[in-house]
Amino acid sequence: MGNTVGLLSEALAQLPWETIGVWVAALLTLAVYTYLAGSNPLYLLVQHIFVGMAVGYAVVVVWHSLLAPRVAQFMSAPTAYWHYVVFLLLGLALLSRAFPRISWLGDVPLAYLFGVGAALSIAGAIAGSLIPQTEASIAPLLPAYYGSGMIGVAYALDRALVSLGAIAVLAYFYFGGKKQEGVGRVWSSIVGIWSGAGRWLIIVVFGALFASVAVGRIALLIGRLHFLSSYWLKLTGG
Amino acid sequence: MIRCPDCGTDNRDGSRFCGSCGREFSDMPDVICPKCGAPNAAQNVLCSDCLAPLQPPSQEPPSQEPPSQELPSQEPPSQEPPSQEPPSQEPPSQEPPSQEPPPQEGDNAATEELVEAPAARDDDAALEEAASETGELLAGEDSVSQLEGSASVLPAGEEISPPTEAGQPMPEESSALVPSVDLEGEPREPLENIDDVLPLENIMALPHRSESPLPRTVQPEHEDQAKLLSQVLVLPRLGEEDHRLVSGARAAGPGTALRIVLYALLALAVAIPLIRGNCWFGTSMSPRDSVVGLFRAVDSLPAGSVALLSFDYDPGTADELAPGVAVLLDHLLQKEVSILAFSTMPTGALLAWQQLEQAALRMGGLSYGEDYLLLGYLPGEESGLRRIAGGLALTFPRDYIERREINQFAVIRRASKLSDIALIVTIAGDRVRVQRWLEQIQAPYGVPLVTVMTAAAEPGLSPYYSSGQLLGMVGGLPGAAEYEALRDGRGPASDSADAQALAYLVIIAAALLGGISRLFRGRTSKDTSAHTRANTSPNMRVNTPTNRGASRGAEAAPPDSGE
Amino acid sequence: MRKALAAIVATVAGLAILIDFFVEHPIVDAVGGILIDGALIIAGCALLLGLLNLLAVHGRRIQERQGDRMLSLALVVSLLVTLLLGRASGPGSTSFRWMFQYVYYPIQATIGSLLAFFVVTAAYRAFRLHTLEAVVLTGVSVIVLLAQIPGSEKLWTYLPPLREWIFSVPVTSGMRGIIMGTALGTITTGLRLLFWVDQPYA
Repeated sequence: MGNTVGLLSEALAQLPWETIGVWVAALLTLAVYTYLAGSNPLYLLVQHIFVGMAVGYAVVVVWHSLLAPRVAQFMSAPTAYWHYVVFLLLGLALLSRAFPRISWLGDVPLAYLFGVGAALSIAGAIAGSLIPQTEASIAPLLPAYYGSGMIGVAYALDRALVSLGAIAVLAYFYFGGKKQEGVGRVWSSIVGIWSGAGRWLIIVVFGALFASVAVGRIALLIGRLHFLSSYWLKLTGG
Repeated sequence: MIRCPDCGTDNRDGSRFCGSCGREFSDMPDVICPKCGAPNAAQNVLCSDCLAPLQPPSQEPPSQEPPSQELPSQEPPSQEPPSQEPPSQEPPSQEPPSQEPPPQEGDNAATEELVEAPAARDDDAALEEAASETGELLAGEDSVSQLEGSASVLPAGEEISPPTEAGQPMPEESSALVPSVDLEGEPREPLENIDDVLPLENIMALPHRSESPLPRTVQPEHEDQAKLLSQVLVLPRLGEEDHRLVSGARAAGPGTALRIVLYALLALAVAIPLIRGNCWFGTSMSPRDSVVGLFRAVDSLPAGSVALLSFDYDPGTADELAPGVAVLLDHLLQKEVSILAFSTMPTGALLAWQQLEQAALRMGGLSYGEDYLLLGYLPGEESGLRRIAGGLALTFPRDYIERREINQFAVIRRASKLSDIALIVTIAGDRVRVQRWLEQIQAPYGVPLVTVMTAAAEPGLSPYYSSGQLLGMVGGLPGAAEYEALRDGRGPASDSADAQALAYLVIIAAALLGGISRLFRGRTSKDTSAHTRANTSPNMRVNTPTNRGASRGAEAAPPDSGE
Repeated sequence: MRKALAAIVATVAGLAILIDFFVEHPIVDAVGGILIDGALIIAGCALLLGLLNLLAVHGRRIQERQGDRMLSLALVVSLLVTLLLGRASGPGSTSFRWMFQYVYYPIQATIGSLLAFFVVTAAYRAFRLHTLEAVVLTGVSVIVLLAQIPGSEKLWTYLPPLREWIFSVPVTSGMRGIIMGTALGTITTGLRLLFWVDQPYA
C-alpha cells in the first residue's frame, strides 16, 4: 500500500503540471467567455466552482495568517495574550448569527465591530478627507504667486476654479441647483447659478469616470487575450 | 361604519383614528366577525378568535409604515420634464387592480410624493438620466460582477446581517430589477448615498428605525396614499419576461447582430495587435504629472531604505495592475530598496508572492528575508491598517512563505515601525482601498504614500494627488506604459499600446454610433429608456392617477430590435 | 437588556478608538491596540460565518434535491477540496499555488474581462446626444479616451494637456466636493451609530 502511494506520488510529480495548468486555465477562460452568448450551464458550473474556491481560500488564509499565529502566541504566553481568547470567544459567538434561535449571542461582537468601524470611519473621514481637502481648497489667488505673466494668471484661475467648483458641487447637493425661496433675489440667483455649475461639474466627472472605467476594463481583456495567444496558443513570444 | 364616540363622526370600517377629531379607535370593538360573531377591534384584519377575514381584500387597512421616511436616501427615479417629451406608457403587467380611488385634485400631488423622493427635481432630469446611464456603465450591464461581489463579500460574512441605514428598510428584492450592481467595491455611482447627506440636522432628526410614529389625525388623502402603498407592496414580482420588458436594458441596447459585431470588433481590435506586436501607434507617451510624481518618489529613496507594499487587489484586476507592479518592483530593487509586502485581501498575498518571485528572477541575486519579505494577509480593512500603526512585527507574528518568527528576518528588524518606512505603495484594485490608506495611515502619521491603481480609480483620487496627500499615481496600463518610458525601457504595458489604442477607438466609435443613430431615429428610444428607467428605479414608479392620465394618449414605443 | 449591552459595547469601543486616533499616550495606544486586535480577530471569525452560511444554503439545496443541486454540489465540492488542500499542505504549498494560478486566477480574471465587452455595448446604448448634458458627458469621455492613445499629440497637440487639465481642474473640484460630502455623511452616519440613533447590529 505504501509502495503504491509512493509510486503514485512519483508518477504525479512527473506530470507536466505547467502545461496541464495552462490548458486548464485556457479552457476555464473560454468557458467563462461563453457568457457572452448568454448564461449557460457551463458558465454557471465554472461560476459555482469559483465561489466555492473563493470562500475556501479565504478561510484557509485567515486561519493561516491571522487566527493560527494568535492561538500559538496565546499558548506560548497566556498572561501576555489573554485578550486573544476573549476576542476569539466573541468571534465564535458571532457564528451564532447563523442559527436564528441563538442569533442574539452575536449582538455583542457585531456591535463591537460596528462601533470600531464607525469610529475609524469618522476619524479617517475627518483627518484624512475632510480637513486635508478643505485645506487644499484654500489657495492663494494672486497670479504672481504662481509665476509671471499669463502662466501665473492661468494657474491662479485654475486654483480659483478648483476651489469654487468644490463649493459649487456641495451647493448642488444642498440646494439642488434651484433658486431659493424666502431669501433675497440676488442671493437666490447666485446660489442657483453656483449650484447649477456644480451640476455641470458632476457631469464632467461622470464623463471622465466612464472613460477611466473603460480604460481599466480594456486592460483586463488585453491581459486575458495575451494569456491565450502567448501562453496557450503560443502565437507570440509570451 | 365606525362612529366616533367623542364627536359622532362616521368613519369608514377599518379606520384607526377619527378623521375629524383624531380619537384613536383601538379600544373599540367595532367589527363583528362574520363567521363566529366575536367582537374585534376596528383595525383588525383577521378575527382574533377564528382568523376569518374581517374585511374584503380590497379594503385592507392602510399600511402602518410612514411612507415619507422610506424615501429620502433612495435614488430618485429619473423623471423627464413633461415639456420635453411625450409621456411613456407603462407595460400592462404593472397595471394595479382597478380599485384605485378616482383621481382627485389633492390626491395627485400627494400621490406623487408617495412614490417619488423629495429630491426629484424637474430640471435635474437630464442629470439624473446621465447619472443613471453612467451608473449603469460603471456597474456593468449584467450581473456578472455580482459574482465578484459575492466572492469578496462572502468571506466577511456580511450576507448574514447586512447593516442598514437609519430609518431605511432592508433592500427589497425588487431592487434586483435594476441590472446595475456594485463593481469591485466601488459605489454604483459617485453620488450614491450623497442625497440627503446635508444638512446635518435633517439626518440627526431621522427617527430610530424601530420607531414608527403614526400621524395623530388621518386625512382622506393619507388614507388613499396608504392604500396605494399597500397595493404597491402586494404587487406580484415581475417575471423574467416582464423584467426584460420593464428594464429595457436589452430593449434600448443594440440588437443581437449588432452586439455580435461590436464584441467581435473589440476582440479583433485587441487580439490582432497583440499577435502582430506594436506597429501602428508607437509607444511614445508624454507622461502625466502623477506618474512623474511616483517615479520621483521612488527614485529619491536612498539605498538600504525599506518600502512597504500593500497588494490590495485580486485576480479580477491583476491583469491590469501587473505591468505597473512589475516596473515598480524593478525600480525599487534596482535602487536597493528592501521590500515588505502584505495584502488586505485574501488573494493579494499569493499575487504578491507571484510578483516578488518574478521580480527576484529578473533581478537575480536577491535574498528572501534580506531584500524582500512577504508578511501575509491582514483582514479588517480599516482596523487592519490601524493595527499596522502599532508595529509590523506585532501585526504579523510570522511570515507567509516560510512560516518563521518574523523577527528572524533582517528586513523587519530594520523597519518594524511605521516611522522606519521610507515609502508606502498601495497597489489597489479600487479607489476605496487607497482612500483607507490615506485616512488611516497617511493623514495621522504622515508617511509618504504613492499608489499603483486601476485606471478607474484615477478620477476619484485626483483630489488627493492635488492636495499632496498622494505623491504620485500610476493608473492602469497607460500609466504603467508611461512609467516604463520614464525608466527608459519597454514592458508589457508599452507592448500592448496598439491593442489599447484600437480598443479605445472601438468604444468611441460605438458611443458615437449609438448617439448618432438615436438622433436620426428621434425620440423613439428616449421614450423606451425613460419609461423603462422609471420602472426599474428602486422606488418602482406606480401607475398613479397622474401617470395614467398622462399616458393614455401616448403611443407605445416599440423596443429597439436592432440596427 | 441585550440591546442595551450591545449598544454600550458599540459606543464604548467606538469612543475608545476615537480617543486613540487623536491622542498620543502610551496607555491610550496600548488600549487602542488591544481593541483593534480584537476587531481583527472578530472580523476573521466573521469569515467563518460566511462559510457556514454558504454551506447551509447549498447543503439545503443538495439535500432537498432542488433544480440546481448539481451546481450547489460543485460549489460545495470545490470549497471542501480547497479547504482540505489548504489545511493539509498550507497556502504556500505547490499544489495550492497551482490551483490558485491555473483555476482561481483565470476564472476571476476572465469574469473581470467580460466587462470590457459590456462597456462597448453600454457606450452604444447610453450616449444619447439629445441633451446638452449628454453631449458634454460624451465629449469629455471621448477626449479622455483619445488622449490615452499613444501618440495622441499627433492627432492634436493639445489633446494630452487638455486631458491633464480636465483631470486637474474640473474632475478634481467635482470629486473634491463629492469626497467632502461623503465624508460629512460618513461622520454623521458613524455618530448616529455611536449615539444609539441607529442600531444596525440589534
